[in-house]
Amino acid sequence: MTKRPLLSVRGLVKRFGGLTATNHLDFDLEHGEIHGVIGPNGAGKTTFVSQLQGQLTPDAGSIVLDGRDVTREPAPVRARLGIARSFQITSLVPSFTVLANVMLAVQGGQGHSFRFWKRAWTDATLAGPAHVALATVGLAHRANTLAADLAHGECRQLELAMALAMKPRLLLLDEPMAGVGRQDGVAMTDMIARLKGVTTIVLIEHDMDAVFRLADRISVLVAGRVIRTGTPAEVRADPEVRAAYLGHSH
Amino acid sequence: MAESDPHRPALVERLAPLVVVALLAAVPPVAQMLGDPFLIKVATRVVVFAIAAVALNLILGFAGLVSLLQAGLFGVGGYAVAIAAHHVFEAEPIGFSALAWEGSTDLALTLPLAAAVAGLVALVTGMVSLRTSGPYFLMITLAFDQMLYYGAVALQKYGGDDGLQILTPLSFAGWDMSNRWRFFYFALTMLAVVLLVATRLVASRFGIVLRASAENERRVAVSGIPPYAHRLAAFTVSGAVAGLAGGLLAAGQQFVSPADMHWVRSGDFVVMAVLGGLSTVWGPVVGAAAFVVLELLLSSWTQHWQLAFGLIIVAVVLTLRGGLSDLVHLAGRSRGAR
Repeated sequence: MTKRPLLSVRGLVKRFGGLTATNHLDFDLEHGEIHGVIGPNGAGKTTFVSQLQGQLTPDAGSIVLDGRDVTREPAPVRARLGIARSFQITSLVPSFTVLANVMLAVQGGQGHSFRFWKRAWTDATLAGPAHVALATVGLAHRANTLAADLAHGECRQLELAMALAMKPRLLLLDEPMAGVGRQDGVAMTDMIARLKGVTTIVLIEHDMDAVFRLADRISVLVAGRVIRTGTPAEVRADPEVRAAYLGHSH
Repeated sequence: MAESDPHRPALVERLAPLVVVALLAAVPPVAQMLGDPFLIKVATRVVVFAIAAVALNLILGFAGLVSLLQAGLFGVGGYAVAIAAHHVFEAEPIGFSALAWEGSTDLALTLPLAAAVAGLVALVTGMVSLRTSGPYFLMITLAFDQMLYYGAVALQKYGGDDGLQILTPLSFAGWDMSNRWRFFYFALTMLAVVLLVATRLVASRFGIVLRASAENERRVAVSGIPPYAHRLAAFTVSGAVAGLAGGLLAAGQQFVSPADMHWVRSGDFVVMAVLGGLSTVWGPVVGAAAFVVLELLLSSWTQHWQLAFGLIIVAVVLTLRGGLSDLVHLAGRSRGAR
């Protein structure tokens, strides 16, 4: 029995001038898995995720989401198809409250926003799911704080809440642990672990302990292509991976 | 400490637009008492400019887009009303044969027409200019404004450079609108409706997207919401309301001229919005009042009134980050602190 993968990437190429950031990359994502993507700095991890999300358009290759070719679809269309992303660099609306930021994401998940009259702040169909998402990431007590006043770790939590609020089929997490303290990092790892089975996740992360603990499978990206995909144990044992990557840090 | 919902405006802020409209409504009786009917004329000008400035602020203050096209759209509305009346006066239909229209002096017909034409122009120009942002958006809207301006100058049939006079009395669904009082309260009602609609608009789902796009466009896009479509809708609505205001100006002074469409006039609208305050819906009304009154007072003192006016703008912008409407916030805050 072979089930169709949720996401299928074939021959993906992205060039920036003379630099080939993504070099004929193939990638498959199974339903419900947490798929870690690791690789040395400059391997093209963020470029890859940006192409999955639609912020960057590939120069060649194809991206198929659940049977639908989305290679040329812009980011808002992909978001409506169920691809959500949390950014490596925090991307929030600073003058909105925490709750309002999540409500914006809920709104996106619900389709069009051409409603001109009803007050959005008191709309239970927006606030309800937003509160649920905030509770999931443990940020409910900060709902009425301005996003600009959050600590860094809390911004990461808010990012995750916003991504979850869109009820994504595919969640792209771009270094969720970046810059957070050790304690917050552990809390974030626990939170992502709880999302296993809720949604399918692509996890880009430098924190090796977290990736090897969370991921069902891991793909190793070197110089814009996947050199190995396998379970954490397989990847850890792979001599090529050790030579290309793990050897430097372990 | 219980935090109040920061998205619910404070009481003082919710009352402010009502107070502003009530103050304007008091002008005609006061003018009568003082025996100075000129004040009504001034107040009418304030109301008309306020409508255009409130409309501009939808895209300037809330969507973060500095447009210099507002005067052009304002003028398009003015010309729509004036041209429709002109054809009645000349007894010469617009168009020919089956498509001929004898024109109209009924504002119940020509004001919606003014809004529709200006809205259409805004839609088309917006489709192009909203593909850009920042200084490029500013330059493109400036270019479109000058195209409309020179377009009006080129309308030799309708007075060209000299503008077009409305030589027939105008009405609104049978009501004579040449009565100064009646026209003033008619325009003020329009302003009140525009304020109400704008207040609901900025707090709606649509408004949230608009405001979020101004701060973080990428965030909105990854949330599955296309900022461009929302901006275009706002730009079109803003343009239509500007056209309505322009139609009111033409009807009020029985005259429209290309001078009302020059980009410098667009700059005036930006000044009104900034002076009054970009963060509130009603701030630009205060800005328009301050602008019209200062222009009158200062120009009666000195020919170089713009120098003094410039200094006042600098002073307001430096001391009150939120424009004149900040005075109300400060009053509200100091009361709350007590």
